[in-house]
Amino acid sequence: MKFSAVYIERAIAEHELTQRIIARVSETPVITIDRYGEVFNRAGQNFRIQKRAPALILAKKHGKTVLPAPEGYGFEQGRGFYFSHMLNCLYDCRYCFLQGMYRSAHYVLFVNYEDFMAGIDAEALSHDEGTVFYSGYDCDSLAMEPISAFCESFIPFFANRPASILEVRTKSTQVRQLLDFQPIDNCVVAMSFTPEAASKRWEHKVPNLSKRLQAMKKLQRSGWKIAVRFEPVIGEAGVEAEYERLFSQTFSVLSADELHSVSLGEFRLPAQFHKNLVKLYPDEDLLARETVQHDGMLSLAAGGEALLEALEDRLFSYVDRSRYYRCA
Amino acid sequence: MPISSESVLVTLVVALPAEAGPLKNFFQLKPLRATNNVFQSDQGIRLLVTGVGRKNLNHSFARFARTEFAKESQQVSPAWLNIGIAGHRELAVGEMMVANKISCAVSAQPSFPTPVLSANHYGEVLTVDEPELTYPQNAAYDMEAHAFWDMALNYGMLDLIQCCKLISDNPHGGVEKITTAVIDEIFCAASYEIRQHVDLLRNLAYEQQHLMSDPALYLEIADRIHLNVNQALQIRRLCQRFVTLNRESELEALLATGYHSARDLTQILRESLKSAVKVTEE
Ligand code: SF4
Repeated sequence: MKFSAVYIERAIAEHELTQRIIARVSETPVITIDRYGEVFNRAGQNFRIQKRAPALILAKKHGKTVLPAPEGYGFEQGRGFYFSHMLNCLYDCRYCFLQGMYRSAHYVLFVNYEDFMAGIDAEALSHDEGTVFYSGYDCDSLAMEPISAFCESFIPFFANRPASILEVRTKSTQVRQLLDFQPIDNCVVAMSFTPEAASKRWEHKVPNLSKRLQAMKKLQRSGWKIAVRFEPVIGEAGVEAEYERLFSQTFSVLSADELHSVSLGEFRLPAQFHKNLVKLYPDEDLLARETVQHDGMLSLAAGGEALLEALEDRLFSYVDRSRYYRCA
Repeated sequence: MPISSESVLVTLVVALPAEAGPLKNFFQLKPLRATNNVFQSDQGIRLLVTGVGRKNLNHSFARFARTEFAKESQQVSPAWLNIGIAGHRELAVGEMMVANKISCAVSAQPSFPTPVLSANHYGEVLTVDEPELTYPQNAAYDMEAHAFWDMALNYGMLDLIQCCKLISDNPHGGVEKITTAVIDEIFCAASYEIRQHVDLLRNLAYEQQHLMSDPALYLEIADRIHLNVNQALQIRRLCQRFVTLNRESELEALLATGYHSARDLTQILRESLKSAVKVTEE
């Protein structure tokens, strides 16, 4: 894993995780900063240029570390929260909302995991009905495991808190660390998939479909709970046939009966993020397509309810409806 | 690969005529008419010679901003590169260092150039007002970089504003040894790296300029009818969408059928893009 530079907030320079990371990237120039915002939040940065050679920023997360998850974010299993130990992602999906949300493409890693853990404990204690904590909202949780040691830190933590569920969202094949642990019942690894052609076209740097399916198979075989997220669905000519192929590929590798959950979700993003994406990629066909807007959210006109229902019909020939939810 | 460009893509900024000399040779830069410190090529490269120190640099930028060239948007480059000599406690004379932090002895606020350029050495450039003879910090000491950054931000793209220094003095060879011949030698020895940096910045600037440029058919429309700011933005984006969706010929045909007003045209283009939306099984 190469970074063009490593910025380190002075306050966490001596943190154990910081020291570990510096040792791993010893060839990379290190720059000390006061607050990550002085690099990450500057106006006038260009995500597209920075994405050519992103830097890593090691920082401390201040304030609230755990936030309520948006309605319909996951499978109903209790009160939902998300936490972002990292901002931005190793991969470069052209449809990704992060490009529209952040001014910088550098990766921010908040190393004070102990504060995230305290935040998780505080929420878990104040809700009797069970809690689910989603990681991977603003990043890919597994892609940077060798650097972030995310699973290494959080799996043992959740192993001691069986009443709370951890859902890890990813497109990565970095499952070695998980396979080294005994599976725990309250962790779900959720992998997102799009049809092979869409993935090749838009999911730059993401491991190919068959490698990801194999990684999921290994996890499933060794007893980890896995979930499949078919999203974002991008409506276009021939898409139903593409999904039929994807479902067949997926369920010929993974056991549908042992899946934790399956979901479908449309390509949607806040209108302002879409606008920002268009500015960065005016030459991207996906972003030039006709859109419709509802409550500030944009989706493709060539999608919508009819397409999702058609895909759901096909999906239900592979998976039981009880395991299914539609991603909001 | 040489880019032949009408517009300026990269502006090189140096303090000394001795630093400008080798660059004029490398990039075949010719004096720009009505100026005595600006040089330019037909490959999208410009050179601004500012004089030593922050005051001179600020003054040169201000003077340049008043010229007719700076008033034309395509004559203001997206990329800016400050190249110059600097002293360093540890680096050998002749080494090149790319700045990843630019600070100033009299201003608390450092700047952080985006790590775009590849180099053997990266580090802090510390701008001082008098030549530094004892090199107290592990930084490259210069006299312009900090002011350069502030000024270039007014014109260029933040990620394409860069600074690299060639080490001219250190504790083993002090400032008194710096002559025009020494500077020339240092620049010539670094010519390959300098060219690489300039080429990369020029390519990135070109890509950005290309992305931001107006579609040809939009320019035709803007030539033909009056558009207010809002209409211009809308029609430009609609044209861009036709181009990106590979439907340029359709746009051409639509324009050929005629339209009465900007409002009318916006409607026609919108309807056409909308009517093409369908999801069908093939
Ligand atoms: S994997 Fe997810 S987070 Fe990463 S770029 Fe793709 S969509 Fe964004």
